[in-house]
Amino acid sequence: MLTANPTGYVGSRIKRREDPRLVTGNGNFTDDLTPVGTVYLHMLRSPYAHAKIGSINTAAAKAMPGVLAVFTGEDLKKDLAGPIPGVPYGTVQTVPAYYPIATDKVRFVGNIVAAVVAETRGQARDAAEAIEVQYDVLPVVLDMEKAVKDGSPLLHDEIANNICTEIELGNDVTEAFNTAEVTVEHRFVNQRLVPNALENRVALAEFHQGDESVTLTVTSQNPHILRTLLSGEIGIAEHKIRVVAPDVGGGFGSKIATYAEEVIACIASRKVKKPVKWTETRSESFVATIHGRDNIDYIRMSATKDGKITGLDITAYANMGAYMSLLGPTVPVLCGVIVPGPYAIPNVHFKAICVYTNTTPTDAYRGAGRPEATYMLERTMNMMAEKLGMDPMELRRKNFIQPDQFPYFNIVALNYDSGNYEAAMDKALEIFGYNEMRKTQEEARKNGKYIGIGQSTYVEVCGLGPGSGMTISRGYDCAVVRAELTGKVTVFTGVAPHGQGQETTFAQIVADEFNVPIEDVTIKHGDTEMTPYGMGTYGSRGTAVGGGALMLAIGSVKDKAKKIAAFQMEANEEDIVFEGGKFSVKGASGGKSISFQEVCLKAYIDPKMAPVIEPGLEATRYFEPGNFVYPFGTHLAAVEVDAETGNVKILKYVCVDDCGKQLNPMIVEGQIHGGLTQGIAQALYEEAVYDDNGQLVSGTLMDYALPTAAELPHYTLDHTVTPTTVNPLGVKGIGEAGTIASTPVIVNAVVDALKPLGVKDIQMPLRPEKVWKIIHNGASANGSAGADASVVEQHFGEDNK
Amino acid sequence: MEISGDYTFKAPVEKVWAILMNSEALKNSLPGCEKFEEIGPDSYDMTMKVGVGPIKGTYTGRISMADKDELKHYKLLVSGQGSAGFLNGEGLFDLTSKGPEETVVNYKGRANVGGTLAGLGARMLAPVAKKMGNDFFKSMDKQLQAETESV
Repeated sequence: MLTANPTGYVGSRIKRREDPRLVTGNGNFTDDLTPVGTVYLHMLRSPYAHAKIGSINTAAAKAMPGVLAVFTGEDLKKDLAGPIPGVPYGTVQTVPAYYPIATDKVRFVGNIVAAVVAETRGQARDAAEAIEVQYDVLPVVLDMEKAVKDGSPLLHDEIANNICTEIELGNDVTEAFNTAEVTVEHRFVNQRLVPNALENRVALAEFHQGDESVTLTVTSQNPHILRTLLSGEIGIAEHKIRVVAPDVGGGFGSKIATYAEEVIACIASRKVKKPVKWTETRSESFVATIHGRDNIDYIRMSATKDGKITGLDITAYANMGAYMSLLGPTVPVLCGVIVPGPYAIPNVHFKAICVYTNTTPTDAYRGAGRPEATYMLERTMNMMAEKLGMDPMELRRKNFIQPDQFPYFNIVALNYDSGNYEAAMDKALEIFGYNEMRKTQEEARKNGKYIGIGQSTYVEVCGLGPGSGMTISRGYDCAVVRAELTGKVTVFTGVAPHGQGQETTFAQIVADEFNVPIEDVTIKHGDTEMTPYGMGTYGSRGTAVGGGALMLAIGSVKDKAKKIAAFQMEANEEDIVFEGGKFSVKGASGGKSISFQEVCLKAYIDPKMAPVIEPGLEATRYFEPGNFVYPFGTHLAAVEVDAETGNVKILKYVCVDDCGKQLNPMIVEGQIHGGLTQGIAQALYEEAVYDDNGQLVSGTLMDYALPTAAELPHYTLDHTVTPTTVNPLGVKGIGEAGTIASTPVIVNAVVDALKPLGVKDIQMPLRPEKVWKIIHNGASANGSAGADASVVEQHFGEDNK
Repeated sequence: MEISGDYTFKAPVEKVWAILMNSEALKNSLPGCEKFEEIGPDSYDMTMKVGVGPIKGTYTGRISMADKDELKHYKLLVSGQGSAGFLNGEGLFDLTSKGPEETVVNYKGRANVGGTLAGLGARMLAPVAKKMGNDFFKSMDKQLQAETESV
């Protein structure tokens, strides 16, 4: 547990220590690094979504000025130890070989067909243009519901019906639905999104001839995992690979997976014997970096007449894209495990059908599965409330898991350790002025104005992950705490912050625990040669897991410091107390004490200690939590829909989140602001759109609508604190909560606003043009609009086509 | 993507037809045409340099004429591929004589594009195609006038 110290850093609104460097151009991003002799890599990408590669002629490209090497898929395969890995889950038929450069076929627009290394970026690009590729175009499969049907064109010959895997969780819900008094069912489309981190991906590979090792500096959220995977791809043993992730400008999950370009850069560096750098352009990023979401969810909910939910049954189609990205099938698992949300639902069944299509591969994107779960659940809760004639908040209140029910097993997979859902809800209702807003809404309706109220009460699962309970690997992280000779402290952490602010929050913890000024603490991260195996930063785990390791390592350093203090003061180790930055002897009068800094000095230089105590003062510890953590909260919004333009204006947004103890409220708020913005953007603006040929037509920031401050409201934030005992800090995650909760809030609000027009659902994103059409052409937009009637029938029965 | 439009030549339909069928004139009227080699009747291998907004690229491909109905109608088929993507299109041309010194050509075109060209250029493609169509006819007209003057 944290020590309460007069330094008082923990819990304070300390400004992020990393920001001055980042906002003054003194950051150290991968593309800022150009070792002497660096040459450049450029990818030739397929313009077709599905085609056989007939022939490739690289002769002209090889003869061009500055060109050092040209690779086709076959060329690269000779130097390749293995394809790009995906982690299978469920009934996987087989994992299709995903070669960094396509060999036989291209399967999405952006699939690499050749790579050029040249002395300058321009030369590499020019030479790529001179490569002649002859394609035999094949029919394209984009629609998941069509892709799984017999006779659909196959992406991978060995994979029947384009089904990557099927995942089934939960129990038998047949009886619950047979005896249900009330049911609702709906088909939700959770559209495809493009992560768009501020910094595109970059890879700088340096092969060292001397010892045949390689250093890859790269935009990664998890350098150690990447090192392991890279070893399997390039055939260089792990101890000969160093992966460095310096400053990384955002990731949102898009920098977890291992990518083709990193592999090609390493192999190219080995071949040309020079440092090789690849820098993704924004337009490349749109097709070459993983996408997120893209699910079609068939959901059925059963309840009693008085509003007790009795069953939940979901079939989710999850678009994998053209290949299995690292965590492709894991994302729908993260959806399934949390799909009952904060409600005590006795019968829950979840099935995911993961489908290959001729699109960019998908993987984890901020929330990863949990936004999909929350969206369909919270939208369905409102549909059920409407059918029962209840207020949506009352239905939620009636079904919450109660504080005395924890730990609570959610039927599907998880043991929620703690929670107090009603407390957060009541606080949010009060701040929002829910009842007054209902009156405002009523008044507005009389004046022909469309005001709506949206709700979401969510619980999420994060802090990946427990030692046991995850299917892929045990989950832990590590920290090295080194008290230096001069009393300064250097920390090396196994997590890889790229915007989460651990250079600040971890320093707050260290400064408080050792009672030193925060200026005396440095947090270092992102280098496989710095720390033991770390799992990296994703799944809102940095502080919950990495912070746990930090606390353990601090504890171990303190233990040794006490031993040294005891030696110095000729006292018993057990009698030493550490308070106010000083070690003293318990109960001894006279005030004999020794400072932390003096202990540090003695640890390294005092010859008297030589035979007794090992030199140095540092500790390396791992922390492996016994469970996930389960942040929760209530989000509420009021929107006004302009009937003349279809524009949605957010009048008010209130959220009460519970992430346990807040180490730095300012950083917590920053995380929530970013999360809310990305979640609201999915509801209103963002959508990756493919045309019928599989061309990404929303492939620029002119066409793909990222929100700006102008579109967003002032956020009103508050919190409750329900501590967790899962980790030594009592913290839960907060990186993804905003994204997970906010999307259904906005859609619920817009649907509520348009209720007088008979609107029951609108498919995201709720762009003005779509909303305007619904207002003016009638409320025809139901979830199954545009879907294959036979598929809808298969899931919902004939009445609901 | 579809485009359509018309162009009025101040010339008799025979002369307009002749210039449109002239391979040298065709070569000169294709914007950014760098290579133009006859590989069969009414069929040519070509290289074109085209810019669509920020997407500038060289496209290698083929252009051919088909469905010729003398003085009335013909079809132009274009396919090209470059690092910025690919373009396949066909244009239908209908000639109408409006008198001894005036001929109207109505054109209707359809194009499929892919790769960066589609991702980045889709928005800008229609106006660029419209301009290219216009430039094509202006160039044909100029060559027609030059020919008339030299006679």
